Formats: sequence, structure tokens, C-alpha cells
Amino acid sequence: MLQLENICYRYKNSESDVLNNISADFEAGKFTAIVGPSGSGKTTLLSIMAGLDLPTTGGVEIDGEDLASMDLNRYRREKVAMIFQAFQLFPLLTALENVCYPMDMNKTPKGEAKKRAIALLESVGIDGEKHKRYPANLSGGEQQRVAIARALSTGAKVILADEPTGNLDKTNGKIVVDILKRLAHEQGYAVIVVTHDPAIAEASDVVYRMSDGAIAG
Amino acid sequence: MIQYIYRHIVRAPAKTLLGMAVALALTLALGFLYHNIISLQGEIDQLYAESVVNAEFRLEQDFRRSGRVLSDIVPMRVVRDILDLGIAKETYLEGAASAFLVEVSDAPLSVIDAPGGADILVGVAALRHLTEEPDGFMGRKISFNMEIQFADGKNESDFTYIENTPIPVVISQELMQRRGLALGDRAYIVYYEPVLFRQGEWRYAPATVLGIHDGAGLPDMVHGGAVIPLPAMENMLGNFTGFLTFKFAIDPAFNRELADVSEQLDDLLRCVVSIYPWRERLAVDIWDQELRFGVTALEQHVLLLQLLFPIAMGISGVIGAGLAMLLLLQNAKNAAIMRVLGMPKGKVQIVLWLGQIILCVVGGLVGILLIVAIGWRADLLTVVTPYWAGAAVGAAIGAILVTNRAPLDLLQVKE
Ligand SMILES: Nc1ncnc2c1ncn2[C@@H]1O[C@H](COP(=O)(O)OP(=O)(O)OP(=O)(O)O)[C@@H](O)[C@H]1O
Ligand SMILES: [Mg+2]
Repeated sequence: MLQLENICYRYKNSESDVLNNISADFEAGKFTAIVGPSGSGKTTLLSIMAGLDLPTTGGVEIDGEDLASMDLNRYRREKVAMIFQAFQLFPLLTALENVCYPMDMNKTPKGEAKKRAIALLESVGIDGEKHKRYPANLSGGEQQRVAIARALSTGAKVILADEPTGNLDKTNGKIVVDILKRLAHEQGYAVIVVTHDPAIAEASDVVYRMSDGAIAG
Repeated sequence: MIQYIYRHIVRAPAKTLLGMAVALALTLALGFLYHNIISLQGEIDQLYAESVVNAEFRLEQDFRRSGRVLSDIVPMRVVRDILDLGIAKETYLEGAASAFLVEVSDAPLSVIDAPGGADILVGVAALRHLTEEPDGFMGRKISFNMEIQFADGKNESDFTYIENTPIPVVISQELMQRRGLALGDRAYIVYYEPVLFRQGEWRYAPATVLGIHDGAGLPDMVHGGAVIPLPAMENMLGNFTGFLTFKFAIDPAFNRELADVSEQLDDLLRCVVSIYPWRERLAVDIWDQELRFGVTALEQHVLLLQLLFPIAMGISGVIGAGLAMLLLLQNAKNAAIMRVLGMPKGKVQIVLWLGQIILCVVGGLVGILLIVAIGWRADLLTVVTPYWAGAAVGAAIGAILVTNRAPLDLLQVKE
């Protein structure tokens, strides 16, 4: 579904490549983990997959279409969604408004967006009473589930998560991982999770181990 | 997206109030300065429009005190020329002439041998001018306590000149005795009518003794003289009338050009002196100190404010820019989230920029409304634009800075 071919990446102000000839194929319906030591380039790789940056050399393809020839903003609006360690919801918007936001950007009719947002929130276990709460009034686990609902709102089929359980306790971490797995296995999403947690890596369908900007093994 | 901008404005009241309050305060501050400048300029205009500046021709040595000869007085020519300049609004003149006042029974043409020589005639427009300074003219304050005793059935109002009727004369006790006159007597004024380039002629005009003055307070030279209506004197002497006093009020329309006026008057004097060299002691005073002091004080004030105003405008703009930028930079994370969600950079910039600018616009508009409500006179656009312009630029810079950062740099947790 999402294919990386010989990706190299170098930050503008840096002297050496942060990513070194990376090729990978992320399939729909698979829960993939990317692990590796700090500084090995995992986040950098995610930002390229998210279309926030183009690789210095090499290519990214989504469903066979080259990212370099696409409108990257549109790619991010429609094809991929991101989940962060620190949740990154809009603090001044309620849970429901946060989920509606990407749909409003995509000009989904208001009523339809709201209905879909409510359904998504329910599906990740955020009940109606909490829809009107601001992120600050939700627990970390709840915030991350709202973030997942937001990621699902636009219908993107690739989900990129950078340490999604890093700020959560075990129980909540497990809930989040279970949701992500379910999304991959039951709904055919390509879920790609960067993690330091060996347990997650073990439970995933595919594991990429990164070190020094390259995929090892 | 407008809806989200609105939510961010309403749901961050502290930030919103700060953004608005500063815009409001600086708009008011500039409005206040502007109002004061306009008010002071208005006061200056009013001062120029309403101040009456008097001018006075005089001899450098005071004729009245020194008892100079009558040739040292202001010639009719000067008076005419001044009036022709069109700068005088009101004039006050006292004429002076030498003549003989004789009884009707005396043969008019034998006066050259009259005892005591010639008498001094003073021409005034109204008798009260002998005891008080004419209205509206500054200069020497006269404080005579001269008393006038009128002929039976006569009073001040009879002191007017009607052509072909006897000239009313108010004379001194001394003159009355010297000429053997009594109140109400008919008399002749015998005078020498000069003619340019030729021998003059003796003439006489019928007169009647209207009253007797005690001379109290009059200068020596006039002390023993006779007072007649000024028009009568002018009728007698025409262009050869001379004036003891010539004061005039300058038309306020010329108040802003008093320096020019003064120059014109000096030119005119020089011209006169070249014709009548013995009049070189003639001088003109313009009594404009009060106007000058008033205007100078106000102008210094205005100048200070006018100097301050652009500085205040600059400060307003800088604060507007600085605050807008600072407040906008706090949106860095939101900007990163928007970018990750696929909002184009330009749109993110517009959304953030608008969110900031709306506060400034509302704050500024409230300031304008207050200025209007208070009734300050200020150019509303001038007063509010610096802040708006500053904020627009500051917010734009902030928006660009915020969107130029890599979104994931801002959103990932760094250990
Ligand atoms: N904006 C940047 N400019 C230059 N170098 C950068 C930039 N961001 C990251 N790097 C460098 O690129 C390398 C990879 O960073 P990256 O954030 O991708 O690592 P990571 O694998 O995500 O690490 P962590 O597990 O700590 O999150 C690091 O050496 C880092 O210093
Ligand atoms: Mg990272």
C-alpha cells in the first residue's frame, strides 16, 4: 500500500544522511512496528511517509502513485493520518470538534461530519458525555483515543503513530494498541507504529529495526 | 474555518482581552494626543481671529509732556496712507492745530496782535475722550479728572460739528479770561490756512463757547487751549490737519502677518520722513505682546505634541507588531497540527493571521467608538492605523515563522 524505495534523507543543515537507502513495503491490514535506538531516524522516516518532507533521493508510492507528483497537503488530508505520543489535540476544541476538524477541512457537510465523528468516538470507547469535553479534561488514554478517532475521520487508510503509548500507563497503552490492531486486522488499515516498547514490537505483524538511518534485518 | 477562528477567540479570553485591550489603549492614547493637537491649534486660530492688536503712531519724545512745536505731530498724509493700506479696522485720532479764538466783536483780521499769541486747538471726536482712553485701545492710560462746565441748557451731546453752524468749543478758564469770552458766547476761530508752494491765507470760522474745562490732567501745551470736534478741525485744515494721537486697531485678518504689517508701516514712515525730514522722530508701536505670548505658549505646546505624535505612532506600531507576533508564536503547536492534518501552509498562515488581526481590529474599533463617544476630535484612521499596520505586519511575520518550522519538530516528544 505504502512503498518506500531506496529512500535517503539529509536535513538541510546536516552533513550526513539521516536516512540511508531505506526500502520497505507497508501493507494494508498489517500492523507494522518500527523500532530502533534514539536518533536512528524513525521520526524522520515517519515525516517522509506523512508527506511532510520529500526524500532527498528515492521515492514514496501510495497505491502505486508517486508522492513526488502529488499535492502533499491533499495527500495528508486524504491518505494518511498521524498519532502522536503527546496526543496533539487542539486544546481549545472539544473532543467532538477535534474529530470534526479534518472533515470540515475536507468540506464534509456539517451534519454528516458530526454524525460520523460521534460514531467514531463511540467506536473508540469515548461516550457521549465526554464529547463536549476539552482535551485537558480527558485522561491521557481518552485523549489518545480521541486522536485515533480524528485520524480515522477523513477515511485515510494509512495510520502513522509515533510512540502512541509513550505517555500512557500499561492498561491504557494496551487499549490503544488493541484499537490500532483491530483497525489493521478488521478494517484493513495499514498501521505503522514507531515504538520503544518490545511488547508492541513482538505483537506486531511486521517489525522493522532501524539503526543509524538504515533498516537492519 | 471562520468558526474555528471564532472558537479560539472566545475560548481564550485572557489572550483575547489582552489583544483587544492593548489595541484599544493605544488607539485611545493616539486619539487623545490628536485631540489635544487639534484643540490647541483651534485655540491658536481663535487667538489670531479674535485678538485685537492696536498700533499707535507717536513721537519718540512724548510731545504732550515735552511741549514741542506743533509741526512735530502726525501728518494727515500718514493717516491717509495707513487707512489706504486697509489694515486698520478702527481708528482713534486727536487733532491739534494752532489758531486764534476771538470774540465776534473783534475784527477777525487783526488777530496777529492778539495778546498771548496763538491758542492751541485740540480736535477730539467726543468729549469723553478727554477723560478716558477710547474703548478698545491700549496704550497710555489717561486718568484725568477734568471737569467741564457747560453753557445753560447744553451738554456733551452738543459737542458735534454741523456744517454751516458755529463750531462748539470747550475752552480753558485762562483762555476765557484772556479773550474776554463767556459761556454761550459767539466767537471766531481765526486760523491760517497753509497752501503748498504758496503763501497761505487767513480764514475764520464762527464758533460758540459750549463749555469751560478746568484743564486738570491735560498736558501743558493743551492745558490752556480749546477743544473742538475733530471733523470741524479737518474741515478747516483739510490735508494740513495734524494729529497728536493716532491709534488704530489692526484688522484681525492681518494678525498672522503682523511682521509684514510692521514692515509696511516702517516703509511708510521712511517715506514720510523723506518728505518731511523734521518728522524723523515719528515712530510706530504695535501692541501685539499679548497675542504673541499667548500664541507662543500654545505653539510650543502644539510643537511638543506634534513631535510626540509620530513617536507615539511608531510606538503604537511597534507594540502592535510585537504583541501580535508574540501572541501568534504561541500558536506554533496548533499550526503544526493543522499542517499535519493537511492544511496548506498559506491557509494556516491566513487562519492564524486572521485570528490575531480580528482582535486588533475589534480593539481598535472600540477605541474609535470611544473617541467618537467622548467627542475627541481626531482623525480616526490616523489614530488607529499605526497599531493595525504594526499588528498586521507582526502577525504576518509570526505566521510565517510558525509555519516554517517542521511540524514534527514541534509535535514529537523530545527526551
Ligand atoms: N530538524 C533537524 N535538523 C537536523 N537534524 C535533525 C533534525 N531532526 C532530527 N535530526 C537528526 O536526525 C537524526 C534522526 O532523528 P529522529 O528524530 O528521526 O530520530 P528518532 O529515531 O525518532 O529518535 P527518538 O527515538 O529519540 O525519537 C538524529 O540524529 C537527529 O539529531
Ligand atoms: Mg522520534
